[in-house]
This record gives sequence, C-alpha cells and structure tokens, in this order.
Amino acid sequence: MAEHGLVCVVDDDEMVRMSVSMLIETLGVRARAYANCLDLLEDEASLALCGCLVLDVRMPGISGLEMQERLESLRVDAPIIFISGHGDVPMVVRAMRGGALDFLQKPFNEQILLDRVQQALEISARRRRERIKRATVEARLATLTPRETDVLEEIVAGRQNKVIADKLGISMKTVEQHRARIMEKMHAASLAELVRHVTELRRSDTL
Amino acid sequence: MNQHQSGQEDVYRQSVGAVPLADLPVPACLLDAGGRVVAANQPWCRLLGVADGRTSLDWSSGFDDESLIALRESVVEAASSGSCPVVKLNSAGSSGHGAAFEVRIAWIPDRTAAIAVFRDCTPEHGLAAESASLRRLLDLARGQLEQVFLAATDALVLVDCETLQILEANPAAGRLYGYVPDHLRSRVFTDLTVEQAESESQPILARRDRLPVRFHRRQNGSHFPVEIFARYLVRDGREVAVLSISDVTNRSNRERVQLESELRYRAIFDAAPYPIILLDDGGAVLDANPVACQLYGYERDEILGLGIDRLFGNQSGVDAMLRARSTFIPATTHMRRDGTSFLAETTLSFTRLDDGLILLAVVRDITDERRTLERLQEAEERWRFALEGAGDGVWDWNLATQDFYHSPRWREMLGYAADDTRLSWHNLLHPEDKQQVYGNLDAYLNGESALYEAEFRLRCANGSYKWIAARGKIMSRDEQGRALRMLGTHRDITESRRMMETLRASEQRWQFALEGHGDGLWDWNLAAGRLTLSDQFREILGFGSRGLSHDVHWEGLVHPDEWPATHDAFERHLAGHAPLLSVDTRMRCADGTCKWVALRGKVMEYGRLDRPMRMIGTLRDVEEAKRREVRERNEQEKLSHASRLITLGEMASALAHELNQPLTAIRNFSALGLRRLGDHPPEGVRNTLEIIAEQSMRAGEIVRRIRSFVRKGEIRLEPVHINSVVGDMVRFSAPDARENGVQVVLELEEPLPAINGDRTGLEQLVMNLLRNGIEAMARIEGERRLTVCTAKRADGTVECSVTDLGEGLSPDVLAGLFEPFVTTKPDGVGLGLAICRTIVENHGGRLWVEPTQGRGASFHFAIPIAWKGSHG
Repeated sequence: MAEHGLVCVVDDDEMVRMSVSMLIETLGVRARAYANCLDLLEDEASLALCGCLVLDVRMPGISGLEMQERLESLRVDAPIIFISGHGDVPMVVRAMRGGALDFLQKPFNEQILLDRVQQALEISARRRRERIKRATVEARLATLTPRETDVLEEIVAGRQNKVIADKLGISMKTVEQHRARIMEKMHAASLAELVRHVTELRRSDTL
Repeated sequence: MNQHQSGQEDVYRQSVGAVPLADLPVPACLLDAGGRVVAANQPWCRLLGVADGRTSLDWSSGFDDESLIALRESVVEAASSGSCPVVKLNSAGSSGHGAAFEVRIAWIPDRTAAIAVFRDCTPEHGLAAESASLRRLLDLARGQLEQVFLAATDALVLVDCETLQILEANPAAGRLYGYVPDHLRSRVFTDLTVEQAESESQPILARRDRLPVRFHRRQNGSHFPVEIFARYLVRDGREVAVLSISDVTNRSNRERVQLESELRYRAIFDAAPYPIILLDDGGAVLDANPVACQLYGYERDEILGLGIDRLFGNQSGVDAMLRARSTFIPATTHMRRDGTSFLAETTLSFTRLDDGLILLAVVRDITDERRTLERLQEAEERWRFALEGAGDGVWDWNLATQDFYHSPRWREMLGYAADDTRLSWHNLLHPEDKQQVYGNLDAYLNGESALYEAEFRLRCANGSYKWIAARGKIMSRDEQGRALRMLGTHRDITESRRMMETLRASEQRWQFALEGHGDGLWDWNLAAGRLTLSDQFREILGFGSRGLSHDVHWEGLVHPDEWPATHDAFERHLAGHAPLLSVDTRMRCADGTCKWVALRGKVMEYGRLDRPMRMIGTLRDVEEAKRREVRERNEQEKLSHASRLITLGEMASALAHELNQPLTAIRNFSALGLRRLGDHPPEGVRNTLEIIAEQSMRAGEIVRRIRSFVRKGEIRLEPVHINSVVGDMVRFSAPDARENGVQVVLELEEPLPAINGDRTGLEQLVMNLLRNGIEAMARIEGERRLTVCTAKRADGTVECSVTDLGEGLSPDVLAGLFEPFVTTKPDGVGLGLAICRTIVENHGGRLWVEPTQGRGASFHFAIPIAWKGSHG
C-alpha cells in the first residue's frame, strides 16, 4: 500500500542517516538519505515522490526547521518527523506548530519512528488519492460546455428541472438533454454521486 | 476632712451642752451612764407622747430591745471616746403604725450624763419641722458662742481661709491692734502683718494649728511679735480660721535672735573649707572645725582642750606671738596627732567676749605649695638647659628692672663673643621690625594673646641681619597680676625663611592650579599636629568654610573601615617607602554620609634627622568615578558569571548532540540487526543486540538528564531593546577595543521595537560577536574598524550585524563555523559561536555570516519582534 511512498532522510551524521534509512527500508519502503537539505531540494524528482520526511533539526546550511518552511512554500505536503539530539521546548513547539508529525529526541525507540513513518506514508497516500480524485473531477468538469456548467450549478444547488428551465430561459427538454450529457461527461452513475463529486471538490478547494 | 468633721462635733457638743435642757428647742433628754432617762424637755415629751414631768421608765416600752441596747451602748461609746454616735430607735407602735427616731448622743463630762437629741424620722412626719428645729438649735448655739467670742480675753479673729478676709474680730483683738473691732472686719489678714508677703498667709492656707512667731503691725505703725494658734471650722459653707493671737513681746527678743545667729555661725564654722581653730586666751582649744580636725588627725572631742603647743609645734615663739597678738604667723612646722609634721601659715584674729578673749586661728597648709615651687624652679633650670641644647638662644627679662639676660648661645648665634654680656636684643633689632615686635609684645603683656611670638631681624656681628623667631612667656607676676619676669627663646630661621619664601611662591601657583581643577588642598604640620584644609577641601565634604576648622585630624576625617589602609599609606610615605602618598579612601561628610576621595600628598619639609615636618597634598572627589567603577565591575561579574553558565550549558548541549548522534546510530543499527536475525539466530545474539539497544537508550537518557540539569531556569524572557544591549556591551568592551586600537562605529536604528528575550543571553551573544570582531583585527595592518548596525527588517525581525575589517573567513572555516569545538583562535575552546547560535535559536532567530566586500567578516543575527515561542 505504501509502494508510492518514498521516505527522505536528512541528517548530517552519516551513520545516523544510514541507520535510519536502513530501518525504514525494513518496512518495505524506499528510503533515500541526504547529508543536507540543499541536496534534497535539488533532487526534485525524489521530492515529488516523497511521502515522508525524517529531518534532523540542527544541520549546517539549512536547518530542519527552516527546511520545514521551505517545503511549505514549495507545497510539498509530505508529513515531517523531526529527530534531534537536543530539542528544547521552544524548538519542539516551533516544529509542531509548523505541522510536524512528531519530534523525536535522539536516540529514539526505532519502533516509534517506524510507526510514525508508516502513519506519515498513510497520510501522504490518502492525500495523494484525494489529489488524484480531485484532479479527475476537475478534468471532467473542464470538458463541460458553458451552458452545461450553468445547468450543473443549478443542479448542485438542488433546483428542479422546471425551475432551471425557467431561470435559464430554456425548455424542459433542453434541460434534460444537458443533464444527460453532464452525467455522462462526469461519469456519474446517479444524481447523488454527481453532487457529491462536485461538492467534495469545492470543499477541498476552500480548505 | 476628719478635722472638719470633728470640728462639727465640737460645735454640736458645745452648743447642746451649754444650753439648759429645758431651753433646747429640739426634743432632747438627758441619759445617765446606764442609758436611763434622767430628764427631758417639753418637745421630747411631746414627741414620745409622755406626760410632762413624768419621765417614767415606761417611755421605752414601745421600742424593741435591739434599739434600746444600741442606745445604751452608744452612751457608753460617747462617754469613752468623746464622739457623738447616732442611733436609730424603732418602735412597733401600739397604734398599729411604727415610729422611728434618729438619736444623736453627746457626753457632757461636767454633768456626767449624756444628752440625747431625738429626731423624728418616721416617714409620715415631714422633715420641714425637723430642720426648722435644728436651725433653731444652731442659732441658739451660735448666740452662745458669740457671747464667748466677745467676752474672751484672748484676741480672737475669724478669717476666711480662702480670701483671708477678716470676718470677725473680738474686742480683745481690736485692743491688741489698736483698732475699733468693726474696723478690723473686712480687712485682710495680711494687713496686720509687717511683711505683706504670701509667706505670712501660707500657714493658714496650709491649715496649720500653730503659726510661727511673726511681727505684726499696730494701727499706729509699731511692730510687735505675735504667736498665733488657729482652729479651722466651717461656717455658712465656708472654711474659716479662728485665730487666737497673743503678743509675745515679753519673751526675750534678744534671746531668740542670738540663738539664730549662733546657729548660723556654727554652720559656717563647720562648713568652712579651711581649718579654723578657736582658742581661749590660755592657748587651749575651745573648738575646731572638721577640716581642722582632719588636718591635725584628731577626732573633735579629742582636740578640745588641747594646748596650742601640741598643734603648732614646740616653738617657744608661738606663745610669745600669741601674747604679742600677732595676726600672722609665717611658715612654721605643725604637728599631727601621729607625729608627722607639715608646713603651715596661720592667721589669727582676736575677739573679746564677755567671758574673756577668744582667738580664732585659720591654718593654711603650705607643704604642697612649697614643693610645687621647688619643682618649678628645678623645671625652669632644666628647660633652659634643654633650649640651649636645641640651639636656641634663651632670654630672660626682668620687667621690674628692665634687665635682659641672654644666653651665651644667643650671642654665638649672632656671631658675637660668648661673654659679651652688654648686648641686648632690642639694640640689635632691625628698625623696620620694631613696630611689629613691640606690638606683639604689648599684646601679650596685655593678655590679648596666650603666647608672645614674633619674627624679626637682628643685626649680627658682621653687620648682616639674621631672621629670628622669638617665643616667650611670663614666668612670674606680682600680686596685682603684673608681669615680673618673662622668659623666652630666639631661634635663627634665616634659612628656613628663605626656603619658605621660594616655596610659598611656587605653592601659590600650585594651589591656584589645583583648586582650579576642583581639588581640595591640605597642609599638615606634623610637628605641631595641625592640619589645615582649604575651602575647596571642606566643600568636597559638604562643610561650609567655617566647618572643620578646629581640631581636625586624619583619623577623624576618614571612615573607620578605611582608616587602617589610609594610615598605612601615610606611614609608608612618611617612612620613605613610597615616593608619594596616594590612597583612595572614604571620608565622613557634613551630612553624615561617606564619600570616596583620592588623597595625594608629599612631605615638603624635613626637620632634623630627616624627620618629616610638613606634608602638603590634595583631595579629589572620586565618588562618582568609584561608584561607576563598582557598578561596572558588578555588571562585568554578572556577565562573566552568566557567560560561564551559558558556556557550561553549551558544552553540555554540544556534548549531548555529539554523543547522541553515535548513540542513535548504535540504537538503530542494533535494532536493525535484531530485525535481520531471521527465525533461527545463533544463541545469545538476539539477547546481546537487545542489550545494546537498551543501553544506548540509557546512555541517551543520561546525556539528556545532564543537559536538562545545566539548562534549568536559565532563560527568563522580558522585553529587551537590542540597542540598549549593544550600547552596554560596546561600553564594557571599550577597554578591550582601546587596547587593540579598534574603533567601534555604531549605526543603530532608532527607535526599534523591543524583542521578547533573555537579556543576559543577548548580552552574551553581542559580547561574543564584539570580542570576535576585535580579536580578528588584533594583528592586522591598516584600519581597525568594527561596525555594529541594528535595523528592523520587513519580515518582523530585528537584525543586528557586527562587521569587522579582519582577515575574513576561509571557506574551510565557514563550513563548520557554528559547530562546537571548532576554533581559529590559538587558545580558543570553540564554543563562542556555538553559544551564539544556541542563544539565537532559543529566541527563534537566525545567525548567519554574510560575505563582505574586500576583507573582514560580517556576522548577522535576526530575532523576531514578537516571537511565537514566547507564548507557548
């Protein structure tokens, strides 16, 4: 289920990043280790596949916390797990406010890390699925003509065909034809499914 | 009060006793010693319902036994004590209602009976009739008394005790004072006395029974002594004194005065501080006062009757002198009882009394006086010798003969032959100095100065003049206090005077310069122990120009805590161990506070044997500087303490990080090993790996604990202005910058918002960056400038940069710049910048290095104005 998730590990200590990525690989997931954040930022392909990040906090160059901000601005939404040799309260607070999944003090119980990684990958997979679903709905919406779009809006608003016909100044028959087209284009089996697809998309847009 | 009461009782007794029973207007009866009615008057019979003349025994039948017993007992009491008891009689009453009587009983000795006056106090009978009858009784009594008063042969005067007004006077009093009695009335008592003083009336005001013998005045103005006895009564609600006055002229006036004067002389005799002995004309002691007894060592009763020769020594001359009636016996040896002797002068006076001649001898012990005189003469000789030895010329002036004696040394001093005794100083005096010298001398002789002192020039044998300092004192005076003899010295001060003059010229310049600088001056004459202070000196300590002028000494000026060190500094300089006195000390100010002052000084004059004679110096107010110094030292200490703490924290932190990395790796790899073991691992391997995994966690826990222990309570957040931190730290590092020739330039944006931070940490941060900058330029050629900038940035942070012009940072160095234990300094630990980074991170900020144009390095940090972490 996690075959899509790539785990990116960044730690300036070679042994740490090696052990962490090897541990993660025992989960049957791919892990890639980086010595600093810049290397990861440059590896855009991996970043795109990334389903979970394990970041050290204090590193030369870009620190883990700065990286968190950079990733947010790059719209990379993979959950982050921080691992730190000396995390103090302000640092942890800052990380968690920034949306980190967890903050582990080194050395840590590897099982917790692995649990968290798995959790992160699930979140990430769910997000990915939702994204795909949304993209599909969006693509289908794009195939509608302007008139069909108008009719769709009225349907989603819950109006009946007769009301739509009066409002748009067209005949009942025309409305029914549009409706059939819309159902077909949107791959909707029922009216309820159609409305759900559209409202879910809108809701995630506003989130 | 008692007296008052008994007075009333007397009146009562007298009044009822003096009037025949039958005439008494109140119910009364006579009782015998057994309490039986012997006689009764009409009102009594009426009151008790007994038929007139039938004072039979049955009158008492109506009364209860208790009452009757009380009545009888009261009669006995009145007879034995003389008081006037009151009894209540109660009757059950045959007619059904009871009657009650109050009976007042008085014993009348000359009739061996008691008179009992009854008062009806039965509730039904009004009091009005009662009081009327009582008033009648009193009126009667007063009438009786008046008769006695008028008829008395003694002079009696009634005086109001408060106003001293004469209320009544009987004819005898009128006769005594030569007045018609009526004229005496309405005068006051003191009109009768010779002295009008208050003391005359005092005994009356004090209610004395007997007044002391005093002289009173008759109408014709003649005086006569009176003796007065007084009784005090209450009349019409006022206290009055009944004065019985008798003329005591017949008693010997003379006798009394003599008695008084003898007593007075006796007192003087006993109290006299000098010995007095009274002798009869045979030379026997009649009396001796206590001082005399003490002088001769006798008790008073032992000395009486002794022959004079026992006291005045055995000289036959004494008798002769007594006989010749000399009044003064010069020093002779007197004998004490214990056989010792003493020298004394005696003054005699002779008095003829009725019973012969009396001698009064006043003895004056002059032993001590003699001894003192001898010692004085001896001392004078010694003193003169000492002066000569000191090189001073000595002069001795007999004012009576106007002879001048000059010592040989004096002549030597001026270059004359030592035996040229014709010379006298005033012949050698410089004409210009004459007026001043004689002026000083006159002033001294007139008592205007305590010592004769003058400086003048005397002509030497070679014709030149020498400066001489003269001092002198009167050695003896005549009886009128006029000077008889004066003794003194002349000292050659030519050399020291020349020195002083040059000194004074430079001193004036010097004083001007110093006072202009705000320093106080002092001049300490060690020889005289005199410390002179300038006005500026006094002003520094808050005294006016009049304060601190008497008896000033260093120990009094200096705070006791500082005195040992100050004293030590003086001693070192005076002993020649320090070329200059230089000590910072605290002195007492006029307002009681203390002030830090810098005391500088130097011995300016030395005496013989290089003894320091005079020290001159300055006093500077260093209170402000001292306070600043203390304040800065405290700040520095605080900072360095904080720095140590932070360093320790950073050390622990760095250590934690460094250790945690390998520990993490160990843990992970052992876990990894466990996971890869498969189903049938060799025996013990799993266990071993598990132990490794656990122990690595344990090590991590230990590291964490150490770290949290060090960091505990370290950070305290408060609003901090970074510009103020920069300002303070630049000031603290100023000595460092100066030492390394570094110029610090500030470009601070004002105003800047405060950041929420830990001031101590921020101070440490800025300090580290400043130190690094200064040290980076310590060994370079060319301009050494350190620029510190602060500014507000658009992203809501405050940025501060420290830019130096040092050698800059190589890429190698840059890579691990903020890592702990990395340093470019030969003696550095490599924690400075690591600490900086921790501090910045703790404030949610960022620390970085920016490239510079040309040489140097530029360190920047930015800290959020409102840092989120501070709320979490």
